Amino acid sequence: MKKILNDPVHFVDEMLDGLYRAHPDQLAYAGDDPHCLVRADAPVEGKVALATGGGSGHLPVFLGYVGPGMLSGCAIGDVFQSPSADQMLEVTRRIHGGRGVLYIYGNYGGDVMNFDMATEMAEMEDIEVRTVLVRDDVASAVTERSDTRRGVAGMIFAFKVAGARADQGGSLDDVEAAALKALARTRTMGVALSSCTLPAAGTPTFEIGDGEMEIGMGIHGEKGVRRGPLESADQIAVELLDAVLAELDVTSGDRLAVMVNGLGATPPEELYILYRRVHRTLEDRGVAVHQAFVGEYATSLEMAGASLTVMKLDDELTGMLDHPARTPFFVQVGR
Amino acid sequence: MSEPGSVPAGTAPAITGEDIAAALRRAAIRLVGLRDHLNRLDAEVGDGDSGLTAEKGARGLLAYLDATPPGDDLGKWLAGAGMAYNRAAPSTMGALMATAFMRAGKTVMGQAILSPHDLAVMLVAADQGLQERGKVKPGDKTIVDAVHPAAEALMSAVLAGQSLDAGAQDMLNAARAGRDAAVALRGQVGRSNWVGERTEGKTDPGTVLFVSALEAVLNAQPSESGRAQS
Repeated sequence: MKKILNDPVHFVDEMLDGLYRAHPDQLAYAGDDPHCLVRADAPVEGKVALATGGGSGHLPVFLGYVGPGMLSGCAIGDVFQSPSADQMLEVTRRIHGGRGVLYIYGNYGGDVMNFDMATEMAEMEDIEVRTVLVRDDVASAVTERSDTRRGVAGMIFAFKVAGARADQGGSLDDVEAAALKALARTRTMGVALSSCTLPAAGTPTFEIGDGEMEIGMGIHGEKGVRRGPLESADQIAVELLDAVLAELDVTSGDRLAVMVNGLGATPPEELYILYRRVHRTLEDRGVAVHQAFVGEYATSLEMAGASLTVMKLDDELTGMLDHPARTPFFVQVGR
Repeated sequence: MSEPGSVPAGTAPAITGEDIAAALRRAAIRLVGLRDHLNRLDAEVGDGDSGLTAEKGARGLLAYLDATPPGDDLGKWLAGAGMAYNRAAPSTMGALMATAFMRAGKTVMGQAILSPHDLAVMLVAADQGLQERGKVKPGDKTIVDAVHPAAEALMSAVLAGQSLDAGAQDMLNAARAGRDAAVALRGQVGRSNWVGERTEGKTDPGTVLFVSALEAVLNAQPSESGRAQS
């Protein structure tokens, strides 16, 4: 393995230090703990605050979406490890602008437990907290058990939509409803071509043979739904698209937001080749793409591969997607 | 009794913050020493890091005990101990341990002295917290399989008016029996659920962690479980 590192033990701390130095006008941290990241102007009084959190190793998820129009703060753990409940509480205290806090994060056991505990502690301090769990990865459980699915790149659409609603002055109920609506209409599935390597471990987390791919693998290397010989970009695109559309009842005349997300070691060229087939297939079915997002939005260190996320829009969601946002990793110009 | 004046004469023995702090210190030291053993057990049924997590959490707890005297609100102090454990080890088990401490602490908010009944109520609250937070029940092959019978045993003993020593012995026996009975079970939650039937006949590291901590708290002889494996 080759990585640009000093001491693997300091991987996360040094990443965070670099991030604050690169974006001093946008980001700050709470309580002397760089793992408790907040937007520089937090708290924004009179608006609902949004927080997320989870392990490191997925940039721009999670902390990359902290800024006006999206998230107010984020607690960051070590690589692939949950932050602690009191780090989440620290973020919560710092971002609370008097109208409650919404947690939006992926459905992973350690995260759920720590955020549930943070909720309990925040309520003891009279901060109202609600939680919306992201479970967009269709590969992680069958439809009947969709409440057990894990959260992946689809969470960015939830951040965007809920962030817009909060920015527009919505109540905690409104913001929660916006996030739930976005997620009800969002599905993701991915394909992995190679493993990631945790800096502290130094060896690949799993093996995928040279000519192989694994459809539906999770962003920590969780088992996918099918492993087989590497197929063409077009074949992969159609398989992923069919899987995510299967639950969204998309028909001619519908409008979508589409994200083709690189997992960390896939060149943008390949992502656009994937996007091309997705777009053409949708076009053939009379479905319009309102906005395309092609790039790295939720990664897994240097895993090769990609995920496809689709959100089925209506006028309300379109308006919130188009609302301006500005974070170190994501800028939406109002349209 | 360090503050005899604060407890009405003729009541059950009072347990002070210093008593609790000393007991927690013994438990934490025991967990640090259990690292390799717990890792080995966890490698059989999970992802093999529960010893590391326990060591990290216990060291966090020890640092808290060094820095923070119990003071006159044991509830708050116990919640702080849980947070220290969780901060040092923000894993699933860290969150569960912190929940147990927090829920136990909530039942004695504002108190500086505890009765045996308080201890039983704390353990029951910790057990409930573990079940809620972990979304598990007795029989799922988790730490709850040792905690739940222990909590029930201590509460019964206290309600029956037994001495604290007798209640403690009942509690320890129940925890050990729960740990040993869980060996035959199949894991139902988390990583061990993916491993499925491979967990049958294996000792659950969570139950070992709890029994070992309890033995340290009570200054009891360490026991080994898992005889069903041989």
